[in-house]
Amino acid sequence: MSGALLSVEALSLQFRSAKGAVRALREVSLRADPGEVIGIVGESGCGKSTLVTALIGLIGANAEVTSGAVRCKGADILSLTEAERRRLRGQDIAVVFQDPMTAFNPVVTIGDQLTDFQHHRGTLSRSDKRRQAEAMLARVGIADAAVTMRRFPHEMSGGMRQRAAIAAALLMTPAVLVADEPTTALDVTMEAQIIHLLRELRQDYQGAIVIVTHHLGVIGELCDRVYVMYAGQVVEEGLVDDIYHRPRHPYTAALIACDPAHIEGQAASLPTIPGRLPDLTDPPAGCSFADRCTIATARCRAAPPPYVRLSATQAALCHEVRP
Amino acid sequence: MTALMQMTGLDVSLPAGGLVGSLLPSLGSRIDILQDVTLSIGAGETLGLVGESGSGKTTLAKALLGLQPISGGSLVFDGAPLGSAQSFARLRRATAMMFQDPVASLSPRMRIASLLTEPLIIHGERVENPTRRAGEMLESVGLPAAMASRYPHELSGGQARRVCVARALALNPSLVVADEPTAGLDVSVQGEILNLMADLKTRLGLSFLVISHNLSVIRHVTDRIAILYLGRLIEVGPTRAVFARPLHPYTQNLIASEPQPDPRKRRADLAIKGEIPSVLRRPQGCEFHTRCPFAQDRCRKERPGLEEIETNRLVRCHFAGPDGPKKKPSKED
Repeated sequence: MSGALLSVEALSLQFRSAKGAVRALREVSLRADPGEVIGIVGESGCGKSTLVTALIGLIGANAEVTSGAVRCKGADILSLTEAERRRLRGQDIAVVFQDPMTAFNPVVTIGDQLTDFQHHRGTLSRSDKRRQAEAMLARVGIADAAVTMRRFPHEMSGGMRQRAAIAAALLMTPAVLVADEPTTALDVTMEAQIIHLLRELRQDYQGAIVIVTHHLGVIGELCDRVYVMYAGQVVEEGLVDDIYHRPRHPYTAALIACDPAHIEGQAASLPTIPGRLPDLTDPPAGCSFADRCTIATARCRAAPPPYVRLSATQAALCHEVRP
Repeated sequence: MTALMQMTGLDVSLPAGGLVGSLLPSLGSRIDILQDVTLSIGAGETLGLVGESGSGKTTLAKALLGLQPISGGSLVFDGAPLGSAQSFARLRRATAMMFQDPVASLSPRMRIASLLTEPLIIHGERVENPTRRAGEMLESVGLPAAMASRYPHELSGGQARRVCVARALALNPSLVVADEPTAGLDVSVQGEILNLMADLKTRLGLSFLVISHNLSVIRHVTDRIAILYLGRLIEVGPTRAVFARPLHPYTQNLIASEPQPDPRKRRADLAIKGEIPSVLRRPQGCEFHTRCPFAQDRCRKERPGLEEIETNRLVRCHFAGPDGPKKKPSKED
């Protein structure tokens, strides 16, 4: 996998809990190339957030990586020392979190925070860093950047704070930008503006962007390729057009069919996926989706499904798909 | 259709006392949250209320149920005017609210059986066997009767929603207000709640007021929609017609802003410019002119009224016509 800015290789991670180990990620593999926008989509409990914390080396004390690696520009993030990881965050990989309010320190102005974020940029003077911060605020579409520099986070609206958070993440021009539910806390008009901004930024940004969300619309508007997660596994990957128009994994197909935005006109009843996620302290021996799947056979319940390569770009974790 | 709930010229304002009042003396003594809302909910109708954060959606719902005092206008429910405390007490028996956060609206120290039968006891009904009664209520929303002995923390988000639906229906209301009924639910589960609501509506002849900022949900479950901007209605009409041909520039932008789960439908320009202004600094004239692509001089000076442009279609815009707002003539700029 040469050339990938970010690659996750068969990563398995579990949390210790009173009920035993929770297998939060199982053999997750993905990659993001320079200039690419990838999407990671899944419902609550599928492991999206755990994956984000693993990408930046922020996994909790009760988590344990049982196998696999996360590589950013070739270096294995998980085997670095804490000091090395600190240097990596912000410079090589930066994250925009869901809640733009808690992403900033409430008692320090935006300008001071954006200046301090450039701590490791030793060659610049403080006034240069301030200028850099102001230029970046203007870059993300904040009209009065000079005024915003003096503002505290609570003086800004949610949309503006999210813009500032994106500016903060891009300050050190990281190789990989991870956006974890970047629009979930925003109104639909603000959401559209942030999508617009991310689209515009990718024009002149050389790095890879990873969008993590449950919102199929956001993925559809922004991404080149998509990874669909279910119960801690990647169940399908493919180009965004293939995933939305020719989904091969039954879960992907069901998920897309459920989105009311996808249904033209008014439906008498909306499709759902009956059943619940399996218990991840004791994942099923066979396919994790078998109990909710409409085409599952006895084999699906007995044996773990293979990751079937369907084309150069598409693959699905399923017994029943054929190339 | 006869109106079950009729709001006429409803105003809600809050006292601008304390810090806000002393910092912004220009406001006068009160901040207007809702202004001149005239809207009806028909018997058996599902009305959708749409708007951005801070547009007054939840305040309107609370005002309807008497949880928020109104400062002007009138409310008539089922032919009887509302105003006195007694009339609201009667109203609460015939209406129910499903709050936005189901887990927070269920007391963590009460079992599901007590939570479900509490409305009956409050309204003076005798409950002989609470567990059995709660079990029947749970079954009516598709949950096992045995769940009556559980506590709220033992339920999933979808189950907690269903319990809230069951509790809302406890007193056989004629109007149910659902505030963001699918917020926080996964896509695969939200259909279950919406289908359940649709099923109950046909089975029990309920009227619903559904508040949501999720346009695709509103599009599927409502008969008519009302769009709020800064506490004023700016467009009201049948759901199908409004989505097919929105007449107010804000509605057009709102519908165009919804991200499409289909990469083939990506549009070049999604973004409506600017942000919703604060109710503390309402723009002069048409309140939407600060973000409107068609705004002209008249919009900055004169406030438009809510006019019926076509049958059943009301729009608050100086320039709205059957084909939507007209483009600004270039010489007027």
